[in-house]
Amino acid sequence: MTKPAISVENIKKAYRIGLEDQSDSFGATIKHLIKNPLRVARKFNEDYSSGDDVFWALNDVSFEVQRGEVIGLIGRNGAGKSTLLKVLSRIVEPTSGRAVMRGRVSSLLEVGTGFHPELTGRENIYLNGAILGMGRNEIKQKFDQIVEFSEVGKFLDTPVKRYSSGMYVRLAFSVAAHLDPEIMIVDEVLAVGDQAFQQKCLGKMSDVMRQGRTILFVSHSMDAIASLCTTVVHMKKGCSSAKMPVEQGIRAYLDEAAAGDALPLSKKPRTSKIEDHEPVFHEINVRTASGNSVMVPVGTSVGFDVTMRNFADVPGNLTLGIGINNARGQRVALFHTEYHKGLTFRGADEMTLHCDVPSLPLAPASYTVDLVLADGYNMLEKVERAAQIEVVFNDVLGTGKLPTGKQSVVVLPCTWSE
Amino acid sequence: MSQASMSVTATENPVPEAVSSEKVYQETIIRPKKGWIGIDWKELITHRELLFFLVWRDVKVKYKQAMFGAAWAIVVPLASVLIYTVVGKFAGFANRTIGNTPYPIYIYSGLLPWLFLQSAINGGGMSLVNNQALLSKIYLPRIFIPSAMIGSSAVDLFMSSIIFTLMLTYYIISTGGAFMPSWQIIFVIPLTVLMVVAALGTAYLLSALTIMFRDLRFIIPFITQLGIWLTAVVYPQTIFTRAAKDEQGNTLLDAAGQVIYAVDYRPWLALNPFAGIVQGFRSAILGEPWQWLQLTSSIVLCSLLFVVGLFYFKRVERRFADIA
Repeated sequence: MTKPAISVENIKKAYRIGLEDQSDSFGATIKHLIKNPLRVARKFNEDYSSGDDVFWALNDVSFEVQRGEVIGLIGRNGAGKSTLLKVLSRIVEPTSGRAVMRGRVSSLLEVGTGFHPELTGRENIYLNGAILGMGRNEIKQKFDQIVEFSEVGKFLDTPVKRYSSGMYVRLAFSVAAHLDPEIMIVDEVLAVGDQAFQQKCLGKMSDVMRQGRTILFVSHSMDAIASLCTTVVHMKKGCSSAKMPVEQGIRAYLDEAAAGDALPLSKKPRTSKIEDHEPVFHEINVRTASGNSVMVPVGTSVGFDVTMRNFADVPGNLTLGIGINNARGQRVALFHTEYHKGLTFRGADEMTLHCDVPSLPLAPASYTVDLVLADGYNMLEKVERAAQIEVVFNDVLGTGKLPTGKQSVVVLPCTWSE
Repeated sequence: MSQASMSVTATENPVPEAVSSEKVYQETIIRPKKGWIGIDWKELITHRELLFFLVWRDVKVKYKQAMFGAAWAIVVPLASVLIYTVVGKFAGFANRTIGNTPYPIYIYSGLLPWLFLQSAINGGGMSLVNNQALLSKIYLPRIFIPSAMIGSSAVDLFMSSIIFTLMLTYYIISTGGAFMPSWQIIFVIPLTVLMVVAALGTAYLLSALTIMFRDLRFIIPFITQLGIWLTAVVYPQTIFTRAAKDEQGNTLLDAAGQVIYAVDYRPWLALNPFAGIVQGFRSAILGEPWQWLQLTSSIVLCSLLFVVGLFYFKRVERRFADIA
């Protein structure tokens, strides 16, 4: 029985919080030092494990990752994903618990750490390689591969401060990816860079995966998680779930996101381009054939009642769009006042618009609803995740079977013949 | 014991061969460390090339954008020598030097070690703060960061010594051999070792303190400004003395021909660990009398500085990423 590549056992990490961390300031320390030298000496030994001003960024995280497994860490912001990666990369020390990494670790928490803007691409390859743990000969050996992968060959002797951010990311990822790690820790670094290069990076990670290497991957892109990972761990408030299959993990993540969306619409975070204006979107009500405000059987009707308030002072010919997004954040449908009905409206003190969709042919999965108020092409206010709907199985095809949300976005009828 | 018995079964049993062909993975255990952490020498040795690259980066970056590039490594000490020579002539320090040492040489032999120590205090102290990304986004042996800073200062020191040697040669020739460094110049080598130990200790201590208490970034430049005066770098230590004179106003000499001092505050300089080093360089190069008290004290204080600096650094290292 081989040992797992990563074993994480009851890792906890505490941070001291407080508005002004007075006990750590220079003056305070000097004062304490004069008043009570022994206590200050003891303070250096203290490990913040008790007290009110302690925040547990990680609170008992345990899991094991087998060799060759690609594990996705998912969770909302502040769930402790990045802290965990930092602990496993040995950047910060856990407050208690233990983790064992078996194999050479390469961690990519930020693209281009250690890059120096004044140095050229060539010089940075050597410097960054050394920082990531490669020897000079090893870098020399892989130099050509790194350059080729990064596609910055022409600018190799230009200081990286003159690089575009895309080139910068490409070069940095290339160096890290050629470390030949046995365990690769990747934070959401792929969020930068263009689509083509993201694909290339994902491809490189798949290569690493196929060579039986272990990858620990954090992303908010469920698409990347779904296409790369074999299992996921769902992190919530510093605690980890058990390892679970990707579908189930994404589901848990979305459920949590939806639970967090229990806020009334008027309190939800929004993007507003109207200066100093109170929220316009006030309420959304989802009507479904099932009578439940969330569950929509495939192919049945769904309706949205959107109430807007206090926007009499907003000028222009306004439009309202209701966007439906799938679990991977992809927009799958848009219901729009102007496109669907030729309707624009003026600001008012209060207004409720009703949208009725006779049939929603989406495949069974979770979907989120976005609201967008616009004047022509100018977005004025936007609320993402204003509501969530759950499209559930309904035997519309008459076969007792349906494509799932992973196999297809929509369920459309067709005929087959021999 | 159990290992021994295992190896016996291994030779009898063919199965363990499969086990031995399996790759052995290096194991890294991550857990909270308690107390004063020892130094992982093995890790430092395996990462030694990183230290080289960090030094190389610091040197390269320092002169990269400057139009005259590395020429500054030469111009800066030369300009300082010029300034302090002129000041010294006006202030009358120059009359207090011993023998027929040209005053610029006198100044340079003090500035040579001091400029190195100064960059250790300034650059070393700021090294962690200036490399926060390396602390918070990646793991590497952090002790390398201040060490590399000292390494790049040592490169400057080396360049500066070449210029100093050229200057010595020039004065030997131009004075027709009237000025000649003492044979004791070879003691510059152990003094340089002492100086590097002092610089490393200072850099470890100050860099760790600066990242914990940012106030120091304002205090440190002040320390070095004061230090050049408290270390007697640009004037002779004899200004802290008054020679004994007879009634005719002649300086009294002892049997060995050395000046007898009526007042001598120089022993107080022994409290400054750097004073012994700077004066040591002068004694070695110019043949001034050795200040044994200062030198002994410097050896003790600098060793202490190194040990305290290193242990304090290791002690707070685990919190760097949380604070940076």
